Amino acid sequence: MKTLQNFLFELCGEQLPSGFERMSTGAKELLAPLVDECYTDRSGNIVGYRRAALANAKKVMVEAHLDEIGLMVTKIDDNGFLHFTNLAGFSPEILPATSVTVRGVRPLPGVVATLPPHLLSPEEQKKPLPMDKMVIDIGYSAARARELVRVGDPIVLRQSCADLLNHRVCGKALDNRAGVAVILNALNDLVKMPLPVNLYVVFSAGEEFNGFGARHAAWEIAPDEALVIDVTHGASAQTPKNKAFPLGGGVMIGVAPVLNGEVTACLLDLAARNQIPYGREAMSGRTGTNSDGIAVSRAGVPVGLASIPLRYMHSGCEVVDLADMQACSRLIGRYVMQGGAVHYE
Amino acid sequence: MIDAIRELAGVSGVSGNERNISEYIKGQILPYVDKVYEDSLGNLVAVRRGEGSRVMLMAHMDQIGLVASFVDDKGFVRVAPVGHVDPKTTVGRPVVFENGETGVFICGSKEKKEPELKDCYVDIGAADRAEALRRVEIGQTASFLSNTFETGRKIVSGALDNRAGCYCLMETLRRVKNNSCELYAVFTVQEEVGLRGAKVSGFEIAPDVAIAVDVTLSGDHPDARETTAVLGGGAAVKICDRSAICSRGIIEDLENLAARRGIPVQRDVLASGGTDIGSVQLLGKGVQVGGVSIPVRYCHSAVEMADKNDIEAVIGLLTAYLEK
Repeated sequence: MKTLQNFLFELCGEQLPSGFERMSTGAKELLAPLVDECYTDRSGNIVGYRRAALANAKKVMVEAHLDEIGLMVTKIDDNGFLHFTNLAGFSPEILPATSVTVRGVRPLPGVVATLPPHLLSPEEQKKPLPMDKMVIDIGYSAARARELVRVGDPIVLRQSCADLLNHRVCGKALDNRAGVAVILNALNDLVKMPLPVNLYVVFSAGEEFNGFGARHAAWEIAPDEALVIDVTHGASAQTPKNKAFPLGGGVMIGVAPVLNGEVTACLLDLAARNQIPYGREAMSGRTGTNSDGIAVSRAGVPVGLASIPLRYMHSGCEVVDLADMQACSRLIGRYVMQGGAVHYE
Repeated sequence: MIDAIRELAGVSGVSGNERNISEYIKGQILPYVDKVYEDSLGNLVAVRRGEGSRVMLMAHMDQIGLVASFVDDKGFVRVAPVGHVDPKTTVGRPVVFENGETGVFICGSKEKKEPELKDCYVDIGAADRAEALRRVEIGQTASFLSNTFETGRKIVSGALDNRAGCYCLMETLRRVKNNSCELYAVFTVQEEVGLRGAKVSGFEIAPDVAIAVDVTLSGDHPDARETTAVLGGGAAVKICDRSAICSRGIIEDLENLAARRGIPVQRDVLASGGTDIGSVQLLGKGVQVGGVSIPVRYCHSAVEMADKNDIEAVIGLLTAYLEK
């Protein structure tokens, strides 16, 4: 049987920049055996459906975004270097000297070119290079590079996962494969149990761009309520206290105007009653997650948010604590088995 | 082509106030469509009946401009921008208000290195506040005046964004013979102020496919930020911009079609700016979106420049797509 860590490490190996989620095979293969039906919709979302044991049960959607931050090729220059722009979520600071995978005709390894300090003037050393001045070296001549890569091909970080001490792990795209992994793990735990709800699991496309996938799925499925699983900022040496949460402190339950009060209260109550470690994450406006789009789908969807603290977001070495993921997974299981939160007369 | 674009560029249509341009386009396309109507927000919707999926082509007909906000004691008309007005490329241009009153767009401060919008005003030559208010009402919009002319294969005009796109869509309606789809050609409003018209129109039409016909930035002139699409390179097939990542299926259909018909195309990866599909893609259960664009130099200035061959390629590609 697969563990949470198996799920996570398999998922992080996939290259899925926003808008190119159809390149995934792994997530669908992991989801299919755990649900009654599994399909890719026309936006590129992977949707799994598990039927309720009872007739007239309500529809509950549990969502995590599948996509990761990405770059896009804009030019192959006469020396074979690739020029690029931001597709979604990248800041230039993390780029110099990182390794990347270019999704050309096949996945191609590359590195973001950088000048050694010996060759930089003191001024240049202080000033970070803007993204449109950076290039990627894939080691090929211009002619060969142009056979393998086209303008418009996407690029992602290349970094394998690793264990750190204290059941923490690091890697790329933990935002939000950690969320996808905890849903898979929760489904795995529920696989033999009859469900009180019609459960729709959505691994959504395009969150790092503008959240188009989750919005489409919420409209199409029209759930009675939804639970969004994403990551939030994990506390490290430099993070502000009110915007980052300790790793190992449990799952963070979102409290925000856009989130439904009943769903939020239910999640807080479930965590407290079942000794699931948790904390409250207060957000004054929008949440910056797919909750914002799902909440206003059609005539409105009551939505709750559970997040996993993650350090060094949108870098190649994001860090999460497996214990927090385990807490999140248990919360999803309790929430589904209780039949969701909102009870209509 | 030049005459048609000159006429289109000469009709005013500042965002939110597109009646004139809408009436003009409506008159031109009537013979080529089964039905044409204006929706609640002012989008001009032309329908060509056909079997198959619902295809929506969009060209925004609004343009950037100014709106009179108050008149000072000396009779100078203070204005606010409508859409992205860059003072560097617009100061010194003549403007025309919707009632026909003309004036010039001037920057008051000469001390600053670069003009700022807050120092800008329109001088209509009024003697005092009373005269100015008799001639221009607060809330009236003004558009920038410009000449439209040819130089070699290029067309220069102040409103190619997006009257060039409107021209392509109008020509496509005229040329397309047997559309293999239910076609909705929409001339949208309020694109320059946040892709608003398309959002309403897309909701009403609920298309399967939506394609934006707009201009894109060409960074092939000195000191420009380099772009993937350039003047003379053919119709620009949108891969992504800041508003949408295009559907892979649409990109492939357009590129394959272009290859088969020998229509010149180039890929367009735009690091800034957006188009109407940004709004439509997110509607309902989702819409498959794409973009076919005309590369333009000096966008949002009085001398936007496009290549006639690119414009022809856009019309050819859209026509082929609708007939496929």
